[in-house]
Amino acid sequence: MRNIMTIAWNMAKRTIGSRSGLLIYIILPCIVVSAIITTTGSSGEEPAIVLYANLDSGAGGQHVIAELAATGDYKLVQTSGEAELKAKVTDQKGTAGVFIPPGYTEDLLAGKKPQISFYELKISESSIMLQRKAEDIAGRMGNTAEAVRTANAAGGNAESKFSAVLQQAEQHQVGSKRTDYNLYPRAELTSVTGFTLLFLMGLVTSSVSIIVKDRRDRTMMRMFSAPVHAYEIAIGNFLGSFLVGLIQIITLLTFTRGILGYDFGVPLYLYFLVLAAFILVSMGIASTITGLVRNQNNTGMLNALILTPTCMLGGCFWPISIMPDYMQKIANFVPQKWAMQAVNVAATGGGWSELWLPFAILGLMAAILLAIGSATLRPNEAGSGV
Amino acid sequence: MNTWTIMTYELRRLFRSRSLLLNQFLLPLLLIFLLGTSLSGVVGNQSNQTIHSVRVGVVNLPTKNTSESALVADFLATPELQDIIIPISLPSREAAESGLRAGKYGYAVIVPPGFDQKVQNGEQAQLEFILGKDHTNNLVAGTVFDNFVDHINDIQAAASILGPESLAAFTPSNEDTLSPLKLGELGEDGGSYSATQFYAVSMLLMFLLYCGLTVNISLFNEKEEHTLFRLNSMPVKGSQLFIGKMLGVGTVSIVQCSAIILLSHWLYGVYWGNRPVLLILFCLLMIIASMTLSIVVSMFFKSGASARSVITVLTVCMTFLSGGMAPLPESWVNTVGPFTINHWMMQAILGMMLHVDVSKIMPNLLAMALICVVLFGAALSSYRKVGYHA
Repeated sequence: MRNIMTIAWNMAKRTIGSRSGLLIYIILPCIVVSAIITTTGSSGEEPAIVLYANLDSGAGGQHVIAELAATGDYKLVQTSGEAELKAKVTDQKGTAGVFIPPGYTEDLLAGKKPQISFYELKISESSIMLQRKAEDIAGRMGNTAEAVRTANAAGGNAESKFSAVLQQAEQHQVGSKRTDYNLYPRAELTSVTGFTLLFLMGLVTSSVSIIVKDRRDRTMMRMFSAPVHAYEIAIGNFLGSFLVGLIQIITLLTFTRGILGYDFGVPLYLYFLVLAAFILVSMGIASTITGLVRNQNNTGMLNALILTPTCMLGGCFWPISIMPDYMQKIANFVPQKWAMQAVNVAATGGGWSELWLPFAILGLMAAILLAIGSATLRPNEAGSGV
Repeated sequence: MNTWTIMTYELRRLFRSRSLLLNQFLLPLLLIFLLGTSLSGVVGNQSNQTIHSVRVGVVNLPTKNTSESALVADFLATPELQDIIIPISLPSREAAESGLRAGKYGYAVIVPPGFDQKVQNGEQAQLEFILGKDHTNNLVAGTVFDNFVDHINDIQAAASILGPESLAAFTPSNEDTLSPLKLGELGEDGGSYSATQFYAVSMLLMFLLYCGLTVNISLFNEKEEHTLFRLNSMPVKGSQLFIGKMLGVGTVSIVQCSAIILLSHWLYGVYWGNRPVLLILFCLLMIIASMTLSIVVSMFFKSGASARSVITVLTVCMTFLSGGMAPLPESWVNTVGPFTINHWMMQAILGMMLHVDVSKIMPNLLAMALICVVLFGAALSSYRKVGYHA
């Protein structure tokens, strides 16, 4: 047992004991995660900036802008015209741009179907929501214009009536009240968990590649000449990378919870358990790949090949629900998805009756991958490697 | 001559390595594909997207004086809604609340007594929505019911101003309607730009930065394998060795860059703009910047592993801060972004895709040239100071 601990502890010292290891695996994650927490966290979400240019002189254009502002989700910024709007969208000054063409109200009232232009540089969840919202507002206003036209068939000032109806509508006499018991997970929890998983996987991968380095440098052979059993070396090595992962999450959790006082909205022990299960899966993945590839430099790069795509698929960077159906099915094969799901279930107060599924899947993935990994990596054999 | 030999050997070695092929050629294409498909599906074909239906608890009860709301009941019965919303009638607000907490329903709608009467009399009326446990369900159901309430609000407003006879216009017509919103062309003269191209650019830049890793591996491998001793004992100058290696890696990076651009164009139809010469120039500058940056880092670290991790961190951070990885608040992109190399490149390439005037791209060229000069100087002086020997 003491031998195992020595080997494990030695591994921890080699990965995160050095100055650069400490910087990358402990300090950087803390910085990134706390940056996410402070920008999007407790202070409430920053409203997305929406640029607009309203060249319409009538009530219609104003109504679109007023209704968008009334949602409270957007900070509206005016620009002088379409050219400036496009330029600012291109310069990423806002999430998206809304352009209302001149004569919009007139065209609406004339029964033509004028279109509002929507500009976006890159797709994001908020730009999609904005687009739908603007579409709804404009669509409803088309109905109102239709009503004004029918009512005005006999003659009269259509525009003033239209404007009066819209102003009345802006009062929102019929409205809704949102009761929010904060049942859903905090919005930034996804990004926080996502990036934590990213760093965790990065660290565990690099610790596993140390085993390969040992074999290449013949350190493994020396170890075998010492009075330790082969299984002790194997367990020690795996325990070492598990320990390293644990150290990372413990520091991260202590830092965010203790020092920043961030409330995860999840029982901390559950969050910890999810991450711990994820370490096991990452170890499995890393050892399977390193076992197959053998060359230390290649393994580092190959892991990068696994790390980022799986994080993207698993919903670390954006919610899985906005992906197309077949991508969501592929995501089921990615451990990050299940870890995120477990955190989400825990955050919404789900008990073990719901939690067992993601945990079982993570456990199964870990068992299978670790079995393959230890078969291919063979940390209990000296070998000359490479 | 020596430089040449070293370069060709370096090239041969790199192109033989399987991991290089996987990482530098396959991975970027895979990531562009992933980003493109996962994010474009939402906007590209909205109608085909299967939205998971949301179970919504509805409390809509008659009281002594009032009957249940027909407006809400009619709305819930509309056929178009069947795929999105599964309404479940509930006896009380308490039942709705506990059902939400237990996750039985995704969203709840509470209709106050006398809702219809108030609407018809032009009085204030409010539905109550209770948010559920799932972010997406809240968004989906929220959009549906918000639109419903706003629709009723419009009708009420129209009825109060225009008189009840105007309401006929609000009955849904089945004629196929033109969307009131169109996606505008950001390009100056109709260059076909789609919002997923943004991620193709950010991925290209990330991988051009990653070619710094190849520099690092090429430099440290010789040290770690102790082959640098042998090379130093040969009649080769240190500088020849160094330049040869850099030329080799540079060539690979150029091939990689063109492969990403061409393959993404052919396979996924990414449009890379109308100024190929300028695009090549920018990419070359980016390669120089990333290689020199990597040289500087490699010179300052004794072990290859720690230098590699610093380069990786720099790459990821710069891509992230320039907004290329996950959406960042605009204020960040505009304040922190300019400190990254990616930012200047991104703007320039997006400009080319959008066919903006050359005069707007020139400042970025200047900035990139400046960055390259500074980094080149730093690389040169650190090489002078540290050198490349075992």
